[in-house]
Amino acid sequence: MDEREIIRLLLARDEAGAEALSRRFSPLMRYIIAPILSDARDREECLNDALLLVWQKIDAYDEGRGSFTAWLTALTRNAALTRARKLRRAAETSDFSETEEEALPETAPEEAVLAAERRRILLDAVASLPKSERDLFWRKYYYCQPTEQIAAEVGLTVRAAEGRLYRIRKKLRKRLGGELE
Amino acid sequence: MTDRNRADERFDEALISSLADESLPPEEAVRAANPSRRAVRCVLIGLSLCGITLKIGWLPYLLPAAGHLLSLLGLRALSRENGWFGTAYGCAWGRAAYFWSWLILLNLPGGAETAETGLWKALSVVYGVLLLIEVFALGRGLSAVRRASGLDASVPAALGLFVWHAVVFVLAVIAPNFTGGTLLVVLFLGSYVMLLRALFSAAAEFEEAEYAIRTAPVRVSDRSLAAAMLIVLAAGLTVTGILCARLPMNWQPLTARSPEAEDAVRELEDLGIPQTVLDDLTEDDLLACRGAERAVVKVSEEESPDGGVIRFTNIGLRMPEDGGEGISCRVILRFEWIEAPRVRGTDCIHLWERGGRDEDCIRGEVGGRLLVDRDGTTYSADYAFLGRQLLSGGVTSFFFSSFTEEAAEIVGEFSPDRQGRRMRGYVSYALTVPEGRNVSEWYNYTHQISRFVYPRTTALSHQRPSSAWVGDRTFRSFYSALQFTP
Repeated sequence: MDEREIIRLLLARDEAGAEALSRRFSPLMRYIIAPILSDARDREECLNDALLLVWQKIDAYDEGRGSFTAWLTALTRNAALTRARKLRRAAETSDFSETEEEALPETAPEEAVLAAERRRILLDAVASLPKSERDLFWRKYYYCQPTEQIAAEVGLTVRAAEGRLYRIRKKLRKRLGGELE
Repeated sequence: MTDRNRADERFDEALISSLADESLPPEEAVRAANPSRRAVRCVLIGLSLCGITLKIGWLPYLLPAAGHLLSLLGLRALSRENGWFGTAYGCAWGRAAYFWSWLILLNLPGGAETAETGLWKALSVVYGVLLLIEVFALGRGLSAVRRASGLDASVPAALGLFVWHAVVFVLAVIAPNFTGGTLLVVLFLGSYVMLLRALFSAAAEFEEAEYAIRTAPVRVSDRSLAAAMLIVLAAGLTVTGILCARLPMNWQPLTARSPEAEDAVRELEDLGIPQTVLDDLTEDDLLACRGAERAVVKVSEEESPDGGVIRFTNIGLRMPEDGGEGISCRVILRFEWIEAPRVRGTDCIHLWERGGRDEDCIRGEVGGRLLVDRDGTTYSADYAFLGRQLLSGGVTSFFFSSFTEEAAEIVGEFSPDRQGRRMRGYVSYALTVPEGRNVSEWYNYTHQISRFVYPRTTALSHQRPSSAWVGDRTFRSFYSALQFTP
């Protein structure tokens, strides 16, 4: 079943769409979750959460803003990051709630504008990097992949990958001029 | 933890948190994070480069070389995923080793001919079998990945890829020189299209499973491995290029002639043969010319693209009647580089005995030698080869249509001395011409004009029809003729 058909079924609240989504996109979603959550059970639970979120939020998907894969990627990554934060907090407070939404600190509108501006400046700086370095950047800082995984997948030794990431960090620091620090 | 490490960690956290909002990632970020797409593309592009070869320039060598490298790098990354991919990786190493050796073999004199015989022929079959196993294992490996990730395990495109390679392999084994002309060209172009379709379809089958494939960590980066393999190849080509670029020649100082030969020189001088020519003839050739009744001398000059000027002095001698049928003559075809060429690789002289020209003339044994002046001394050497040789044609084609020619003709092959001046030589033979016929001896002198010739081709092997396109930038042939009424 192709992507368009899966979206159509999901929008029509047809469970066949959910099944097809799981069959076709689970490998991608597992791949995104794996570097963020180390425990296998957490990863499976996160995958189920993410699939449920897709089912619930499919109406929010806007084809004009990006591909379905990009939307699914963002949704899965954010689900994994949220779960990782909860796990960290639970480890600190010995309390983990499955259902409660994480109580995020209130963000002042002014701070939100500043964060958006910082993000724009960062993306401009990333855009000025060569393609091979941009690929490493996204893997490291968006997908939170460990250096060992990045190295294996791009055909580098771990040491070489570390060296490249160091150079990327150095370039970004220079281009951002202390904007993030 | 040092201050620097702490600062790096803080910066890393700042970068991650700057990207932690819910807006969509750029498409390039989505494409970038993929465990196996890069490896799979390498494998499929590698297979296509090995499968589709055009006999144009160095493309039959460059494209498969790149293809073997890409296949190897791609399969290296996939090899840990399952045993099938591991098997394919092993086969890729075997194929690359054969192909690298074959590329180096082609840089040896006669390498192209060696590659078609004996052990190399057997190895080429092994290569084909390895390729089949590799493609089969690739399909099985993909099927296993799809099954493990809950997808449909059938991989029809991968099967199609295997079938295509199997058909080409069987054709190559049972009919390596099959001549089918235009029909075969059309068939193969069609099969190339089928191959590309199978590759694209296989890519789609891989794409569905690509997130489920684990790539293997590497101790040597792809770039380093590729560089190492290219260095090995370059070293092999350089060593064979240096050691085997020239034919072995045995230059010896010229020795004094006997009084009998000196008499012959005087006799021939009286007939108008230039002293420079007579100085070069061997004693046997001088004595064979004794008694000549008349001489015809034709001189011409040609410029070579590598800066040399060559002078041809063609001499025909009418010899006394020997009681046999026809008119007895003697022919001396001499060349001399009056301005030295820059390239001194291999040269050859090749007499045309076919093509309907005086085929009923009878030519005797061929004699001759080479001479050069160095440090005030004249040195002489025999040709590396002088005599009749079967110039047999192999396959000559743009794609696959071919023809075959065979003929034994008079050829002389040698490597000019590296430093000497006035590099020169000649061939001489007896000629019996039917009554009422003119002598018409045509030949070409082929000179190497490029230092880099690949595959290794000597001036003589350049005379043969060949499947390899060498082009006019490596050798230049000068045509010369001796025509006279005996």
